[in-house]
Formats: sequence, structure tokens, C-alpha cells
Amino acid sequence: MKTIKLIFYAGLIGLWTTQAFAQALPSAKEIINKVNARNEGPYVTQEFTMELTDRRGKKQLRKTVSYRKDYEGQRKSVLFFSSPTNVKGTGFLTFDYHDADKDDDQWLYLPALRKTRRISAANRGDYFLGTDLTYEDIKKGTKISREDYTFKTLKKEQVDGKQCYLVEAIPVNDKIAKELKHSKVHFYIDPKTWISLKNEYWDISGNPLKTTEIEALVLIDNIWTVQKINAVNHKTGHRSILTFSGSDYKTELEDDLFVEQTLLRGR
Amino acid sequence: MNENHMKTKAERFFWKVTGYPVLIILAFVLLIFGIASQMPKMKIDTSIEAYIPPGHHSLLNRDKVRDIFGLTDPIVVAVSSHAKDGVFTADLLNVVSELTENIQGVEGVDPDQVTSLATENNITGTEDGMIVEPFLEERLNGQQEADQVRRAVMQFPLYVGNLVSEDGSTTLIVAELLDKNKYGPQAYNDIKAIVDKVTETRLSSMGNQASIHVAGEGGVVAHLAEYIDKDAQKMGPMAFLLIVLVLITAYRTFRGLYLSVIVILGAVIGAMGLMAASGVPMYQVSNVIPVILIAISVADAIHILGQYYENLAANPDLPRRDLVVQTMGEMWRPVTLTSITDVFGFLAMGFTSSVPPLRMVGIFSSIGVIMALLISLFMVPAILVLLKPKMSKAFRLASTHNSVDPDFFGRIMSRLGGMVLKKPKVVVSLAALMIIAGGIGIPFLTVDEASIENFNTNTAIYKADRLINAKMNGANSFDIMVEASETDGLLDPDRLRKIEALQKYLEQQPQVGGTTSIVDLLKQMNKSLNENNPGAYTLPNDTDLTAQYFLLYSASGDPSDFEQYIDYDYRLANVSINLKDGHYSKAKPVIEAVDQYIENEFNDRTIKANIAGWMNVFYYWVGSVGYGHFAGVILALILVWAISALGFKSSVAGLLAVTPVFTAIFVFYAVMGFTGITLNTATSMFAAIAIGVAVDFAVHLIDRMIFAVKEQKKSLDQALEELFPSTGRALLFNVAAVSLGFGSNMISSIPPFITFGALITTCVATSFLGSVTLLPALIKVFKPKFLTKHIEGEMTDEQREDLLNRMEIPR
Repeated sequence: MKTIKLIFYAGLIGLWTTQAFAQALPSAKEIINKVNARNEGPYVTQEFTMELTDRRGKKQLRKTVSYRKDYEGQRKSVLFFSSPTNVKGTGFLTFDYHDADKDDDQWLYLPALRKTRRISAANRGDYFLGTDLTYEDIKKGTKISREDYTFKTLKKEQVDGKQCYLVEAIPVNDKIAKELKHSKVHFYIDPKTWISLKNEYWDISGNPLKTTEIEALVLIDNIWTVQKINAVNHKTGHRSILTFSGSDYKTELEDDLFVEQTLLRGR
Repeated sequence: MNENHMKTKAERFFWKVTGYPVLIILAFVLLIFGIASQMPKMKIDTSIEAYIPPGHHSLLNRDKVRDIFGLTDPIVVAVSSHAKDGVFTADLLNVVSELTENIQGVEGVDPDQVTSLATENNITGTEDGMIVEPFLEERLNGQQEADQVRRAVMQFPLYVGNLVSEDGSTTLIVAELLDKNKYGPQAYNDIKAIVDKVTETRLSSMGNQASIHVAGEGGVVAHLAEYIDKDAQKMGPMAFLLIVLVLITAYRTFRGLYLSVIVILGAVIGAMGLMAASGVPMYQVSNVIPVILIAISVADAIHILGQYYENLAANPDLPRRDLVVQTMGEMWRPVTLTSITDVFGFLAMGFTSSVPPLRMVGIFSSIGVIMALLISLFMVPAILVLLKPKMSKAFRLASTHNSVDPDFFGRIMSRLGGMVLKKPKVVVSLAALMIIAGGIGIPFLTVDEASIENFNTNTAIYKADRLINAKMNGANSFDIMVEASETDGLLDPDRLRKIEALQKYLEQQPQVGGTTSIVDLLKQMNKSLNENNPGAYTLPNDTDLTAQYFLLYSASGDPSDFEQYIDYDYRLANVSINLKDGHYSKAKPVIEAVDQYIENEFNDRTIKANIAGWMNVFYYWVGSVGYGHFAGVILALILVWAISALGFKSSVAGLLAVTPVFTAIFVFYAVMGFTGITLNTATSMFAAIAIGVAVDFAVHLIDRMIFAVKEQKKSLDQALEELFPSTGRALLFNVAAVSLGFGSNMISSIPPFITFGALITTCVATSFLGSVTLLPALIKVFKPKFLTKHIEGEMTDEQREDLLNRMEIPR
């Protein structure tokens, strides 16, 4: 009899503590809403550099100037390569549509061919220009797609000395998982900026896939701006360091910057 | 009799040995159990890399190229159909999609590194651009959609031969593993289970035209590990069982049986236990060690016990210690000598071979033989002296004279002896003819081997290999690493064209199914960016354009997509070559031709090339097997001759000892040369081991002849005649044991071991026949001095001449 009573009380205490703990954490929905409500500015000009390192430590460095402008229902971006010299002048124009069913449009201008070629839309889970980030990662920036996942706040955890909420995101179904090429993400979201400082990904079979970390975050024109992203693929050993500098949210960008003909002229 | 009555040093030694029987037995029991306790440490290594000396340049080259270009040994699933549309029906392509998805979910398989029609993208050019889309996005409905897929793939030269066969009958699903060593065999079995299930549920409804096979290195390793286990479980016990039967027939006593078994167990435990203790793993070939030791070590016991029973029969009232001492005094020399020749045979085989597992077979078989010798010289007499002498039913005493009345086996040998001694010259001439035939056969001997020959033709892996060789570019590959002198050097169109020319040259070679390099990808992109114009399937003409193509590709490809073709500095590129036949003999001319081509075309300061890859390793490995074999045979013959000559204190006796086995080996070269049996890693072991083992017959016979003429003062003819029922009989059981023991290799699951077993068994048996026929015939014809010098009244020609000279009688 005594043991049963003891188990009963222990159970009660256990229930109480888990509830108390759960109450101490904001719901995942709340956190994700805050993440997505963050102001990113309607347009931005940046110097965007990709430093790619393969499994053996060999590096490729590519420098670009990039422009982004948000429109109703879509985001347009264009980038021009400035280095290395053999790809200098190559331009890459993308229209991302918010409607998930509509394929994105992409054009690439190759100066050596003197032609602009339209490239069929990449899948969301495809890697972006040889980096370890996917088109989805680039498109969403610091935001997190609400429709793709079911979320759960797991606990609080420190990242770089900052107390973050660890939110687990599981794709809502297998089809989405396959599109995104992952089966689980852990977001470590900093409640001060509502930016995820670290994302951990698992592949569709549950093997550790990659980790991305934001290393430098500064306030420019009152907008929290990511200056450096570190990404490493645990399976291929490939790494990417993406840096963004000279971020300018003030200079208004003309609409005709984001048209095919501009690619030819270079910038 | 006591110690002082002992005639020889040896007898005095064994008098001492038999003085402490319990102590000696205890010491050996402790030693054997001590070594046996190490057995659980045994590791198994089924990798094919083990067959190359670590640090060999071909292996280093291969590993370097694998590391630079991230090459792995994938598991390959081949889907095939001989129906009209081949695999290009909606049903079968849907099976490919289903299999791909299931395989991606297998533990250990990297889901992002599974390549099939269901994962690969088609790149096509349009008027204003380029479309990148999967060949199989959704499940297909109807033949029309399947035909569309076929048209798309066939326009992609890179995939034709690599992913789908030209005739459309076959397509592959290639799965790379996260960690080959950790997941290899399990992942292979899981994939096999998926394939079996799909075959059962989906293919059965499509008629018998379609089939699915699993192949690839992962499968090979998994299969071999299984075979080693299977072989270990059946070959050793089989050899043991057969030998027990021989022993029972030979002695018909319990004592004869268990004494022999103790020697066998001691030898096998000694070799395998010390192997485990020293950290040397079990290789595929190591399974022959216990089988060889069971066969060889029993000989010591057979000869000692044979002599023991013979002596007992001749002198039933002899006290037991005297009986044992007398037996050991007579037998220690032939037993020691034959053990040393065995060891020399193994060591000659081991040390002339550059294949590490063969070295280990040589070393640890030698250790086992030495262990058997020690047990025979110490533990066996110690046990015998504790036992009350009891006559063997097989050795019945003859009532009148002091020799043994031959039993059935003795009589067979006597009859054989009668025939040989009647026509000795015929026997010698026949042998000479055999040696000549062998000499003619040697140039026809070929060294050849293929990894796939380790499998029976009815195994799934063999069938898959044959299918891939017949339909695809081939299951066997090697690589050529092209190296530019500076970073970005391989963006240069001139140097890319050199690679293109190299591929063209390679594709003209026989057996080359296809080649793949970055050049093929660049050409495909050039075509896509020029409105899919087939005439644009050429290399870009400009360094910058090449660089921009790579950038373009990265717009949709994975960061490590090009890893297997070119490095990040655009300085190193890999050309991979598929061969349709994995035999050494077929790869050799290709590799040697390419080597020459590279020497001529790729040796300036701006560009270099090196051959690497598995078939290149195999080329060096099998090449060394042939050299090692002949070096081993020559070394074994010299060593065995030297030790016999030393033991008998006569170089002629040494020569006589080697002659029968020499003849037998020549007979085998003739047979192998004319029938096309090839020398390979497993069969190359046979000759040197056979020399060491088969010379024992001759050694026993010569030793007995010397004993008969020297100690028993018998005439040459009498000694020869008595040789057959006594020593001849013991040798008959010896050869039966050795043949049956070695013959147990023939129940191996691995075909080359079956050939090895057959070769060594018949070689030993032929040597036995040579020893009991050719050897007495030679003695009868040539009357060698090392024997006749002990016989009074029988003088050699020189002696007679010498005597005549001294008597100064005019001739």
C-alpha cells in the first residue's frame, strides 16, 4: 500500500514539474511568429562573399555584389560576380514567389558565352551556388517556413553565451521532407533578436546532415543584420563561410535592376 | 637395459626424456592450453587490400586518388529485363523508383549519395536556356511516358553505359555507404532483403523477363566473410574426420588414434593460437592452415607409432621404456628431417611471396609443424612410456623370423616393389619423359585471376557481375589521375583536349567498356547551352567559359557533385575507366598500353598523369604471384635438397630425395600448361608446399635404406625388397592422410581453394608414387655410394679400381 501511495505522489510531483517547466517556455508557435515578424527592410545592397572549403581543405573564394528587393507576393534578387576573374561579370537573377506551388524563375548571364540563359527552377532543397545552404535557406533568410513543419519548444540552451530557445521542427509529411532534403531541424532562437543563431539538420534517414551558425550579428539602420554564416556538412566534410558586408538598407533599388537585360550590362 | 646400455647419443637422450613422463606431459598440456586461451582474440580480415604489401606504390596511388576524389566502393543494384522495351516500361521504372526510395532508407546508406534514374537530373537545352529536371519525378503511367524517359537518358552520353545500358535492358542503382567498414555487410544484407521482397511482390506479376541483382565491393566483402566462416566450419572438421578414419585403418588401436589426435590438435592450436596472440588476422587463405597442419602433423605420429608397433612385434618381451627409447632412437632423425623440409617448403613459399596473407600462411604453418615435431619428440614418448605395450591388430607377429608379416596394405606395397625392382630402367625412363613433358608445358603456364572467380557461377554476385560486364561499361575499374602544373590549369582547353584524346585512346582498347571524366560533363553542358545541338557536344574553347560552366552547374548541383572528377583547384582530374572483364590477363595489356601512352603524351612540365585504382593494384598483385611462385619452387627445392644432403651427409642422397617431387611438379606444370589451369593466389601455394611435404616420403625411404644396410647389415637388394612392406606401408597411410587432409580444401566454398586442394592432393600423391617407384629404381640402377659404402663385399667401381691399383695387378 505504502509503495503505491509513494508512486502516486511521485507521479503527481512529476506531472507538476513538467507542467511548470512547460509553462516557463513560450510555445513554439509564439516563437516562430516572432521570428517571422522581424523586420528585414524592403530592399538591401550587400557585398556577399562565399568561401567554400572541400573535405581536403582546398578553398574557392567567390565575391559578389548582391541586391534584393521585396515585392507583393515575390522577392527579386540579383547578384554579380566580381571575383575570381574567370567568372567576373557573371550575373544571377532570381524571382522567388511566395506561392509554394509556383516555380521560381532564374536567369544566368555568362560573359564568356555573351548570352543570358534561363535556368529551370531549382528544387527548394538544392544547394545554392555550390554552398552548403539550400535555395530554401537563402530564400527564407533568417525566417522559418510555418507551413512546412510542426514545431515544439524543447528547452532553453546557451549558444555563444546567449540563452536561446531550442525549437524542434519536423517536416509535416514525407513529401516535404524529401523536397527540403531533411527530416528534422533544431533551431536555437535568440529571444533578444528573434534570430536562430544555430540550426542543426538531419537527413531523410535521420543521419546528422549539417549545422549552420550565425557568427556575427549587428544592428544596421535598426535592422539586425547577419554578417557571417558558417555552414558545415557532416557527411561530405564540405564547409561554407558566407559573409555579408557593407549592408545598405537605405539606397532605394530601381525595379529595372531586376530584369534580364541588366544582367548583360553587368553592374 | 639401463642408460649405460644405450648405444647412441639419441637413445641416451630419449632415456632421459622417458624418465620424466608426467612432468613433460604436464608442461605440454599447460603450453597447449596457454596458447589455446589466446584463440578468442582472433580477428578476420576479408578485405582485398590485405593481399598487397602495405605501402606498395599501387596501393598508395589508389588510396591517394580515392581520397582526392572521394571515391568509395558502393553497393550496386542492377535491374534488368530482356523484354522488348527492356527496363523502360512504366512498371519497371516505377520499381526503380521504389527500390531507390527503400535503399535510401537503409541504415548506413547515405540517402544523398544514392544514384539511379530516380535521383539523377536530366539537363537539356532549350531555345532560351536550360532545363534541369529529374528523369523520374513521379510514378509513371503507360508506355508513352516510359518511352519519353528512355529518349531523355539516351541523349545523355555520360549516363549511357554507366547508369543505363545502351540497349536499354539494364539500369543501375548505386548506393554509397557512410562508413564501409561499419555498415558494409549489414547494409548489403538489408539491400538484398529489399531486392528479394521487391522481386517477389512486383516482378512475379511481370512474367519471368525481369530480374534484379546485387553486386559491388560491399557485397564481395560480405560474401567472403560468410564463406570464411562456412569454410572454417566444414574444412577443418572434414580433414580431421578423414584422418581419424585413416588412423583407425592403420593401427586399429585406440592408442594410435588419440596419440595422433594430440599431435594434430597441438599443431593446429599452436599455429592458430599464436596467430591470434600476435594480432595477425584470419585472411581468406588462412583457412588452409588448419587443414594443412592436420594433414602434415599426423605423419610424425604415423611413423613413430608404425615403428613402435614394428619393434614390439619383433621383440614382444622388450621392457616398455626400452621399446620407446629404441623406437625414438630410430625415428627422431626422419621425423625431424621431414619436419624441417616441411618448414622449408612453407617458408620458401612465404618469403618469396609479396602477398602478405601468403607470407602468414607460410609462417604460421611452419610454427604448427614445429609444434607437432616437439610434441612428437617429447610428449608422445612420454605418454607411450606410461602405457603398457599392447600389440596392434594391424601388426601381427610372424612366428618364424624376426620380421613383420605384412598385412593387406603391406602386401600391396610388396607387389608394387616387385614390379619396380624387376624393371627399374623402365621406371627411370618414364620419369625422364615426364620431366621433358613438363619442360614443354612450362611456357604454356599462365598466371591469371579475377576477384569474381572467388564466387561460384551460380551465386547472385557472380550473375550480377556478368550482367554488368555484358550490358554496362563493366564492373572492374581503374583510374588515371591527371595533374596540371598550376592551380586552374585544367580549365585550359588544350589540356582538357589532352584528356579527351586519352579517353578516346582508352576506348579503342579491347575490354574497355567506357571512360568517364570532367570532359564528358563539360561537353554535355556545352550542348545544353547551345540549344541541345548535338554538334555542340564539344569542349568549350575558352578558359573563362569553362570556369563559368562550373559556376553554372553549381546553380543546381551539390557542392561535392564534381568531387569525383576534378578538385577544387582545377589542378587534378580523374579519368575513370571501366573494363568488361576483371581478369588479370585482360587488364594487363590495357594497363601496359595506357602506361606507354601516358609516358609519351603526359610527360611535359604542364601536365602529368598516373595510373591508379583497383585494377592497377590487382595488376601488380597477380603479376607478383607468378614471380613468387617460381622463386618459391626454386628456393624450396634448394633448401630441401640442402637439408636432406646435410641430414644424410651425402649430396647424392639429397638429390635422390628431391627427384620424385621434382618429377611430380613437372608433371603438374605439363598438366596445367596443357589444360589451361592457371596459377593464382591460391593455386600458387601448391608447389612449394608440396615440395616440403612430398619430399618426406623420399626422406623416410632413404633413411630406412641407410638403417637397413648400415645397422642391419642387409644387402642392397634385400633392403630394397623389405622397404616396401614396412616403410612403404607407413608411407601409404602417410600419403592417405596427407591427401585426404589436403583434399578437404576441395569442399571449400571458394573455387580457387578447390583447385588448390585438387592440385596439392594430386601433386603429393604423385610424389608418393614417384618416391616408391622412381626412388628404388634409381637406387637399383645407380647403386649410390652413400648406401653401398656400408655394404661389405659390394664395392663401387672406384673402390674396386682403388683396390686393384694398390694390388698392382697388371690389367
